[in-house]
Amino acid sequence: MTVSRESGKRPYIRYRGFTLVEMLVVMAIAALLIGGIVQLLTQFRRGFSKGEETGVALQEAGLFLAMLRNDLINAVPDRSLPPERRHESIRVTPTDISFSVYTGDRDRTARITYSYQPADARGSISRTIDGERPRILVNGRVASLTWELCTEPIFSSRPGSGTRCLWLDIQAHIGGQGKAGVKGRELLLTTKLFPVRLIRQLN
Amino acid sequence: MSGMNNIFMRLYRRALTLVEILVAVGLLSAVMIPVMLTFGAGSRGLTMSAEDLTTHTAALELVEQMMAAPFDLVPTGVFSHDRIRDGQTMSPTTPLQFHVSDVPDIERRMTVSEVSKNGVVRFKKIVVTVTMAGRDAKGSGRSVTVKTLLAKEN
Repeated sequence: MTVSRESGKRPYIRYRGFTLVEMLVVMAIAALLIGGIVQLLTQFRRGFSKGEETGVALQEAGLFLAMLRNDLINAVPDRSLPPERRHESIRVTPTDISFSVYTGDRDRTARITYSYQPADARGSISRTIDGERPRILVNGRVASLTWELCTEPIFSSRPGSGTRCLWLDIQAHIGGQGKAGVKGRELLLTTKLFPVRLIRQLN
Repeated sequence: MSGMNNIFMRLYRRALTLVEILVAVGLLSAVMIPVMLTFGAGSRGLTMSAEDLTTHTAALELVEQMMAAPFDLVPTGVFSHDRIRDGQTMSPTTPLQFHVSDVPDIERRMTVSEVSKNGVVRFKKIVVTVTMAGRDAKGSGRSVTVKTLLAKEN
């Protein structure tokens, strides 16, 4: 922009347009900036979704483990079985765990069943009490799950010999499959759960 | 003439000085850096939650098997990580074996001591500490300690 003054006339302002090169440079810089910002925001959004999936998977895995641990600690012998077979009070199949627990709020024993519905990396785990409506604990996030009931006799000359130890060996891959296209961090759950009350009552 | 000066003053555009640009960039950084850090903090929080779940699970696994064992067979002493192996006998004085899962990057330690009253052992105090080793050599060092008392029932 330039200002000109000719004799006898009012000064006027002459606007000069941008050259093509200036426009191209500005557009290139703007494109770079906008592209960078868009990429940054996309990464943030993807990271947020991934984090959300991981958080939900963690929460569900923690809930499942806590409930199963609490139920197993309170498991009691199945009175319908003869005494010599009461160590079979916990029934385990590849898709189900079933046992009786004492529930203080109901003041009686109740039958608890944990069911695993396998699917292609989107399996679910639910808990049913006394045949009521199942409550889904892990929803479509189980990549794999195996549980196995192990037992070991304890022989010793000291008090406590001849007793039997039981535990449930669990291995599960949970996480990251909740939303389509978003895969969160996969969590490996591997632990052994001990039905403390049942073991004490059996022995 | 003064009118001309006003026009020139209005039209005159001074470029930004280096100090002004630095101040502007500094202010922008001060605003943006905390915003950026919140994303990293969220990720770190998730990692810490996952580590907490792993260490808690490992600690409870050890505590529960000690609680399930017959009182007289529970050995006392300090058990380092190397002694707590799956299938390994807890001590020469007991037939009990450790049953622990193979969890990577954790270290287990356990102490079992007797609590006596009037010269009679009433309880055994079990303290389990599980430390999470990090992915790098430094290690996060997060640890969980679970304590319980095992009562002699008979």
